[in-house]
Amino acid sequence: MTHGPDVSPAGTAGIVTRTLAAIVDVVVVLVLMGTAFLAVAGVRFLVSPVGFSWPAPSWAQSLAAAGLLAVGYLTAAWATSGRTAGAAVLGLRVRSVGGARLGWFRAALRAALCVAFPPGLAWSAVGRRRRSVQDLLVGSVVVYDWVSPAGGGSGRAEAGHGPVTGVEEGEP
Amino acid sequence: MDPTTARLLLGAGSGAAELVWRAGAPVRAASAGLLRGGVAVLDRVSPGTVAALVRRGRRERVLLARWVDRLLREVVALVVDALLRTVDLTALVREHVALDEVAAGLDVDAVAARVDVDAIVARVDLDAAVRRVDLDAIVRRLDLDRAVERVDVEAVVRRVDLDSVAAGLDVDRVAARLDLDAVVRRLDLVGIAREVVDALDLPGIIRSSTGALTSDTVRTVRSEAMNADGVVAGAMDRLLRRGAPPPAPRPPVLP
Repeated sequence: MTHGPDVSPAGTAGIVTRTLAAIVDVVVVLVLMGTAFLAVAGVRFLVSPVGFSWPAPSWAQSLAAAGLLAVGYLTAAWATSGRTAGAAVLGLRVRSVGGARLGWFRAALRAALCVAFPPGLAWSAVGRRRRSVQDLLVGSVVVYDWVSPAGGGSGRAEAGHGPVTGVEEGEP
Repeated sequence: MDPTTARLLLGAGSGAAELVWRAGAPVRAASAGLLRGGVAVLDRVSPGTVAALVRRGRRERVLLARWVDRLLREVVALVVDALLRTVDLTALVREHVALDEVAAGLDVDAVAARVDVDAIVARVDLDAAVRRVDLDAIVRRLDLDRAVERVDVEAVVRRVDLDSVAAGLDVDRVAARLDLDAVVRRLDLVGIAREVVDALDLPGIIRSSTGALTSDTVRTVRSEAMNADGVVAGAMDRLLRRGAPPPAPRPPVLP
């Protein structure tokens, strides 16, 4: 179990925002699945144009492919920019509890946990620090990271990139 | 020398010459008689010699006539040449010839009727004539602008039956002869597309539309989701009796 985040709970993304971001990411993975399906069909056509037939994967194969694609997509997004497409739309960013970017290993571990056990996200609604089961296991936190073009106020979200002082540690 | 003296001398010379001519008449008659007699005697004595001499004389006469003819030709040529050099024929004709009367006497219709125009045209080598024509020079000398200004284009167009012209057009054949590939190859499609894109300012449109989307829809969704997060957290805190919830996050804004 990891230490508590150096961010305010109010700056940590809650269950609603994260669910919406997850829905967007599911759509992205479905698009990736369709693209991969067409790519496989194209390769088959190039290899054997005469005996071509559309691929007919089983449910297990489809699920395995979707899982691999999702893990790869989430890992690359979190390890590089810290945000997936869904997180970019909703203005979220995944960071380590210290405010640093997730490494490739932790990003891959978090992606595998998210794909293997999606209900773990629900703990972000129950826990006081709004962290999912995956966040607690990996030591990550999802924060608001967007700015509004109008009005006054602070720049970044209250839970910005750097650690925010005066935040309690420990489990939510 | 005054004219009277000249006439006197001319009359005296003429009288002397006539006197000499008349005084020599007996001599001439005697000479002619002797000559005829000599010829008759010789013809009787040696007719072959006379015949040979006659033939020779005829031949020499022909030769002499040719020589005189040639001489006269050369003399005449020299004289005419000297005359033409000396005399202004044009002025002479103008002064002494009634050209109007001459022209009035001409039957031009009869002259024209005698002209075989077809034969003249048939003798003309039109190809050679056209080859000698410098069309470029002619075109350079043409003032096309002035010529076009004088053309009544509207009148020309009114006289043209465009409907019949269009009906006679075989559009399919015209289209079949068009080398559209060559036309497309000559088109700078990339340049045209670039100009269109530059004129449209696509990046600006995309920026403005994206910005509008971000500033309106996305910002609203993010704010509402953030508020919903706070509501859910508050509800859970009350449900679990965890005390006052942390303050709701403010929508972050640009400085």
